[in-house]
Amino acid sequence: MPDPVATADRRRDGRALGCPVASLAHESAERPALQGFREFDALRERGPLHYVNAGRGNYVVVGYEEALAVAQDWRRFPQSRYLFGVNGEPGDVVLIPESLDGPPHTAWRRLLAPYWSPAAVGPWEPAIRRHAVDIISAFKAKGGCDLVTEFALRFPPTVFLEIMGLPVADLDRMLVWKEHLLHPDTTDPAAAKANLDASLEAIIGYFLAAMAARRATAPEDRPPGLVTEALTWELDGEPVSDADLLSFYMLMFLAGLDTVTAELGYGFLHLATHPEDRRRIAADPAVVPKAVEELLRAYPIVNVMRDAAEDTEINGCPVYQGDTLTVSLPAAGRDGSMYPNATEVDFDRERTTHLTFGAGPHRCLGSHLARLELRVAYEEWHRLIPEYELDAAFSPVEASGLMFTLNTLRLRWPA
Amino acid sequence: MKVVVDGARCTGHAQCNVAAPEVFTLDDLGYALPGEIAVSHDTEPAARRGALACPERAITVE
Repeated sequence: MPDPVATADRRRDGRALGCPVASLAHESAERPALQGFREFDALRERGPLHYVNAGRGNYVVVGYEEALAVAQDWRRFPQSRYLFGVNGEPGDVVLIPESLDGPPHTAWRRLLAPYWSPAAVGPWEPAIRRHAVDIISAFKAKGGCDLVTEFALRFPPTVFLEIMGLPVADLDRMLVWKEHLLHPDTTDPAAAKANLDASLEAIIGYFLAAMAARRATAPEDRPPGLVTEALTWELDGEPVSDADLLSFYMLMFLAGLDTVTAELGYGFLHLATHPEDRRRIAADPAVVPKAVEELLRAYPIVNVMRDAAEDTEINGCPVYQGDTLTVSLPAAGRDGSMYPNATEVDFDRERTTHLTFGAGPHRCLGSHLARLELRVAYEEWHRLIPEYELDAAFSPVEASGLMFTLNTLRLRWPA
Repeated sequence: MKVVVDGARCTGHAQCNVAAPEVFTLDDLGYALPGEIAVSHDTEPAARRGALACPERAITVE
């Protein structure tokens, strides 16, 4: 690794550099919880944009203003072709609508928006609440649980299956597939690759079978839910192809099974270690919507990737066509130039407006469902288990890369 | 006072409507209805809250 100071004025490829160089090692399968946030916090203290001196042109955007500007400008900074890249080459995986930009993306968003608007997700609340109560009630009497594996990993995917119109009984095998895709055990790379390929094939087969079963059923007898609805979708007067539907299901699978899970982990880690905030929620559920927003602001869990479509600059720093930008939403949410005492959680904060769901055309489609799931989770948990704390025998552990997520968070309470 | 919702910048966060439902209305897709909104004296604080709640900075107060 060259001395960062020696390379500060030129990139490895000899081009001009206008920002600090970071030697970021934020990919880890297991390390102490919150380390990812602390590393990005430290990076942001040194500037809003950093060049990562490894491989091709890679930058990390950690300032709020810069993150907002990049996220909103899909022409200058389209979705990255390297998101699923291998060995520095662009990947060929397309997730709809995530991988699209411009008019095709807009068409898909218009098609999907009616299913994910606040008015559309609101009626799911009773079912969401029932699932939360069922899951919590199953372990409440034990006097302790692993918040991640026993609640956060199960609650949002259960809601996902219900909305898709798929059997909740399929949850366990879906979670196995998801782990192989998103959180491979890299201690044995060959086994990880075999698991990934097998799980990918299994997911595709699962959704193809679900589509085939519906097509073999009279329309009036098909189960309700998005998989049935999608069979009637058209774009530009043409039915959506099965390949595109699969690509859409794959995105739903990845987004619906993993993100709220990660957010719940950090939310409960905060509450278990800040009794004053926990007691406040337990005593006054009316504070929960504000708490949801503030915890989202302080603990964003997704870093997104964009490519530069042209030679351009960000905040005076040159960026070249083909460079990749990792936009760190966890860093943007904790930017002190945007929020006073930014790294502190304060339910009374005057303004919590945040970029945790992204910004621009790719704003998280499921944000309204995510907010609803988080609100119901905090309401029902604190109604059923108002007193809890970290189990001191175990340390909370996170995995970090493009996503931050807790692997384990052991809690205990008076049984 | 009036507020202006820039429909080209709105991406459907819907936080204006959460902060000030009496000022900001959503369409069937969950996006804020674009254009000028005349704000009465009573709803001025709500309108300002709604504008500040927009992550896209799509709402200006005039």
